Amino acid sequence: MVIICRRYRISLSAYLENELDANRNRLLEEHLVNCPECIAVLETFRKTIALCRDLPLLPVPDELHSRIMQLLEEEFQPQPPTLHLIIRKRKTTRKNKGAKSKKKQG
Amino acid sequence: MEKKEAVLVSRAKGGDREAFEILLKKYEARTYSSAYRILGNRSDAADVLQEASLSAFQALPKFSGRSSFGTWFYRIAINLCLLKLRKQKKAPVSLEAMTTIRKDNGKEQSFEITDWSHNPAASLANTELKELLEKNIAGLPDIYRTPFVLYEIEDLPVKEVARILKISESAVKTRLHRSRSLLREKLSHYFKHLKRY
Repeated sequence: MVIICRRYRISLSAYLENELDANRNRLLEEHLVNCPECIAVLETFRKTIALCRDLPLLPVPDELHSRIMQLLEEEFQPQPPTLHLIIRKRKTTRKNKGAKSKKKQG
Repeated sequence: MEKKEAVLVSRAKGGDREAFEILLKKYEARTYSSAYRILGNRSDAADVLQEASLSAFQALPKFSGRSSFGTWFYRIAINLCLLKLRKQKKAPVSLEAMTTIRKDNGKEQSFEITDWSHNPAASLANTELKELLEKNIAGLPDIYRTPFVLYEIEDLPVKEVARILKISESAVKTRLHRSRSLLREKLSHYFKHLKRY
């Protein structure tokens, strides 16, 4: 590879993202007109990016999804609501009792 | 956040596992795919998806809904991937070792540069090429692979990638360029081989 080509190829990402300033953009395009090898690099560079962007999502194995749901079931047991109510009721009863006894003392 | 999803999130916050499962089904493939591409193997990707799901379910009451559930869930998974990579502390692969193909006598092989971009085989319908691409993304050194996956495949802006990885935007751009170059070289090698046979 000619040294001058190497200098231009470093800018190919920035060129494809429209991030080169006007002067560097013009110099690169002038070089591309006269350099079929750099054109080939640019086109294959562009194609590589496009292929990567189009890669499909990988399917999640069914057993992995089931295992996650199983773990959720085991690790996060829902609290029975009645238990909260009982505790609340007890606290309220104690508070009321305290208030009553204070009133009596007063 | 769309209304239907907001209802599901609200139900899941209250401990409704069925609602959480619907949300999980919607986002698990994207999360699993990214984790696989960042970590380079399916076993670690499965661990991340599992851990992210449990963490998300537990942390749901704290989820404010400023972003979509998917974005929030995805961030949890990405952070877990980064944590895993830090723990693994893989030996860095030199860029030279990745990019230079040498002949037995130690002299650098000079490549004839050809434009394969219009080759009919340059399509994801070509299973061999698709597998090769996945393999080579997985084979990129960590420091290149992560920004590459976040930017090129997950479509996050450079600024966001820089924030997630705690590096400068210019470092992200440099790493993106290097990963694209490495992958382009690998594909070029494949097409050169394809031409011969």
